Formats: sequence, C-alpha cells, structure tokens
Amino acid sequence: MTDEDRLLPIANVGRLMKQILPSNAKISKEAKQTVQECATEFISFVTCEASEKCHRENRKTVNGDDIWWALSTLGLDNYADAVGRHLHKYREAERERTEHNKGSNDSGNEKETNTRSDVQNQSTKFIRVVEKGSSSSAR
Amino acid sequence: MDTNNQQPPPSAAGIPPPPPGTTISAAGGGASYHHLLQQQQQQLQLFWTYQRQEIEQVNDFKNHQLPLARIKKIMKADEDVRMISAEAPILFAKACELFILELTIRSWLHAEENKRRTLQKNDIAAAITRTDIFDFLVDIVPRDEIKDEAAVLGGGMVVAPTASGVPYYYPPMGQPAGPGGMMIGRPAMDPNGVYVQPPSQAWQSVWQTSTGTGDDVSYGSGGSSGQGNLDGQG
Repeated sequence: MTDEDRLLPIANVGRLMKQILPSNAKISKEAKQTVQECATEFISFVTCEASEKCHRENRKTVNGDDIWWALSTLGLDNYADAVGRHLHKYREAERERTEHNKGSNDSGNEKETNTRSDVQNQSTKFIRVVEKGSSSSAR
Repeated sequence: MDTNNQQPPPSAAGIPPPPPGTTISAAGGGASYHHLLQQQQQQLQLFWTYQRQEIEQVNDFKNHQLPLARIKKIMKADEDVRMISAEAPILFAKACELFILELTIRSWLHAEENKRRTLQKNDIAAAITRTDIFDFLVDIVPRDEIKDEAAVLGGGMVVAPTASGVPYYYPPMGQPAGPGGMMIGRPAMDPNGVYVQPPSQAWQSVWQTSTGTGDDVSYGSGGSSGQGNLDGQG
C-alpha cells in the first residue's frame, strides 16, 4: 500500500476544513497534510480499541457498537454521543429499507405468479389452436 | 455579573496550570485571557450543538464526505482486524468528519489569537497540545513544531519546564480573538429547527465579524459559565 493509499484523500480533508472556516480564511498545504495525517491516526486509534474488544469477546467482526464503545472508552464523549445518534438513525433507515424491499418483493412475487399463469393460459390456447389446425388438415 | 476578577479555570483549553514558581508575562492580565477562553469555549459548544442537530436531519447514508473504501483500507491496516461490518466505515466517515472539523476550529482559534488568517501547521500543533483528548496525536506533530510556535510568539509565550520533561506552553494573554472580535450566534434556523442554509453557510454566521472592538462580542444562548476545559468532553 502506497503512502497516499494509507491516508484519507487530501482533497476531501481540505474541503471539510474549508467548509467550517470563515470565507476569508486560507489553509496552508502543510496544515492540510497535518490534518490528513491526524484524521488517519484517529481512525487507526479508535479501530485498535474496537478491535481489541472484539478479540476479547472472541468475535471476528468489528461493528458499529464496537466503534461507539471505543470512542466512549477513549474519552471522546462528544464523538461517542454523535456517533451513537448516527448509528441509531442508520439502523432505523436500514430497517425501513429492508421492510420496504420486502414489501415490494412480495408484490413482485404476486405479479410474477400472475404473469406465469397468463403465459400458461396463452400457451394452452396456442396448443389448442395448433391441435385444431393439425386435426382439420388431417381431415 | 462581573467576571473580570475571576482567575482562568485551571483546565481551560486543555492547558495545564502553571507549575509552582512559574511567572507568566501577560499583556493584559488573566481577565481578558479568561474572556478569550470563555469565548472559545462557547464557540466549541455551539459547534457540537450544531453538529448534533445536523445528525438529527440526516436521511442520506449513501453519500459521505469521506470515501468509505479508504476508511476500510485504513481499518484493515490493523492486523488484528479481521472483518468489518457495513456500518463501521459509515460511522467512521461521520466521526472522522467531526474530528477534522473540530481540529480545524481549534487550530483556527489559535491562528486568530495570533492575528493570522492563514491556517498553518503550528496552529494544528497548538490545538493538539492544548486539548487533552488529542493526546494520541502528539507524535504526529514534531517537537520542533511546538518549539517554533513558542519562538514565533516571543515574549507572550512562556515555556515552563516540568517533571515529565515536556514543557508547558502558555498562549499570550490579553489578546483579542481577532481584529474586530467575533459575532457568535446560532446558525439560521426555521421554527421547526431545520437549517435553512446548507451546513457550511449556516456555520459561517458564527465567524461573522462584528464592527466593534475585540471585547464587543455577542454570545449565543447555548454557552456555559466558562468553567471546565475547552475539550467539551463531559
């Protein structure tokens, strides 16, 4: 993995920094690079704590609750609070999406059944027509 | 209530209290420094209040300010990490966004103290050294950077040796926050609490410069008494 690959993209970092500062503010390239490194270290730092928790509990997958727990444990209370709310909203949205998909799948299945029976009816009619034709020609 | 006689809180801005026998040279005394800390504290509280309200408005979990694939790569760099759930990078995208914003604000406050409009590396260094919760970042900013900062500020900055061998740094006191002070108020909202402006524009109202002097600052309603540190953590 190259140096750039192990860091968050500097363009995204710069955009976020610009977003929060007054319009007349300028940001040096060095400052952007430093924040870029800090943000990457932040992810590694929290991931390490979350991963250790998973290891202790004999789990293989790092999930949202582990990240929330890691932020709380590391004293990043504001982040834990914000991430907790975000996680709750995300799970709510996912549940709604799943239910919506399930609903549309059910109606899709009904349509599919109807289509199938239509096709069967049509093919039956077609067979009858063919049979009629062949019997009349036999006469 | 007259706050001019109050001493600055010991843990304000994550700056440790001066060790015994240390003298602090200050241009305007502790009162205006306390005023500055109070002002910064309120800005940071306003920032977190604003971000919490923003989270309540979020409905789109598909688009993020930071790329999920890159976040996942950084997580995977830890050898102990085996599998990552889909929600983990999404949460990190949010947490990381907040982290970048907070670090930038804290750095900007330092740049303003020094009457600069360009954010420099030493501002990031100062924000890290002043904030307890950013201790894990001390290795990213070289020691020289912190020394440089002390040199740039000259007489206003006092370096005090400590038992741990790491010096304490005190920012110059009595400096106004910016050339004309800051207008601090809640971002524009409609009656339902939904932001009228896009986030970046709404937040800009916090930085609006008032026409008065450095002391002529109007505060938002969400501030505290200025006690406690600037971390805003708990």
